[in-house]
Amino acid sequence: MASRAGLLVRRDGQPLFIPADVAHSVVETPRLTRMPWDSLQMALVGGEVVPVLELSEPTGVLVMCELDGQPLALSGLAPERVSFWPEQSAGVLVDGQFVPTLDASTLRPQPLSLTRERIAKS
Amino acid sequence: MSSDADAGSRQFSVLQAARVLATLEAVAKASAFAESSERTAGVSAARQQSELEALQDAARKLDARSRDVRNSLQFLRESVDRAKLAALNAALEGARIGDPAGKALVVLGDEVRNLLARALDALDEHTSLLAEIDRERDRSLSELSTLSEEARKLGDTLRHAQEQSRLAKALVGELRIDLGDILGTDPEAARLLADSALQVRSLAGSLGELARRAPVAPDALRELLAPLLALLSAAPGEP
Repeated sequence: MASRAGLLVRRDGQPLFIPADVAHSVVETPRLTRMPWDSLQMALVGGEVVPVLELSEPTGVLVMCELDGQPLALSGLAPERVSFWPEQSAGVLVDGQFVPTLDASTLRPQPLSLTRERIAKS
Repeated sequence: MSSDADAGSRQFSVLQAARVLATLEAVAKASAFAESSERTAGVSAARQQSELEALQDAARKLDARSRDVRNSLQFLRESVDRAKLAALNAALEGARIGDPAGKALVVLGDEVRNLLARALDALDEHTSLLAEIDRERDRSLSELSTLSEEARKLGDTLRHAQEQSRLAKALVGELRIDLGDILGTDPEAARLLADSALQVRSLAGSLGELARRAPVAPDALRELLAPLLALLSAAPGEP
């Protein structure tokens, strides 16, 4: 069985797996700026402005990811371990338990203009 | 006989005056002793209060040192947290490199994180111990404060009692002088007279007993004792 390297995190107590090619590092939460008309937040990390997705209650750290070559920070995740785990479809086995992979497609922040349009329609 | 009765009556007054004066003298001595004891107790209470205040100061200094230790523990905790993040990032870097080259980095990072987690547990234990010490110190400080306040009140009470004893002593002194004036008796002379009367009474008792046991010369003795017995019988209630 092929193994997959990545980061094991918890979101509201539930384990999630983030592949190592998505998760780059973990940093202390810097000052966050909330965007008007959007749930998105912004942060300055390593001299770069990065969008921050709030997945749950803040844990004090941001998981820095890269999606399609774009940086993205995730807040509300509590990192636990980094290791190589046996790969399953849409997840890995951690100590014999299936842990789903955090779906990267749902993490993409929508452009601000689209969010405005959605608000206007509603 | 009338002059004898007067003498007896006067002797009775002198005896009574001597007794009253002796009592007053005893009261004056007791007041002086009380004043002296209260002064000693007052000094002791003041010393205790001062020592209690020194203990309170020491406890307050302990509070400042405890705050320093708490700050150090907080600094250590932050450092360990950062080190844990660094170890996690090192492991993540190893994971990105992939098996087998990056695996050693992942394992090492995991081990370091475990060690740092234990260090954090120890720090938490230290923090809770320190909090417990702080609580105990606060409780001791509160008790010391109460004791210090009680010692201060005791000192005030003793000072007041000392003043009252001094006043009582002065009043007794004045009373002795006034009584001497009223009775027309010098206190010292009255005391000597009372002592003499007691000795005479004792002598008369001894002679009477002797006369009862040796009836050879009772008349002669009765003649000798008559004035003394008359003098003593004029003082009813005397022991």
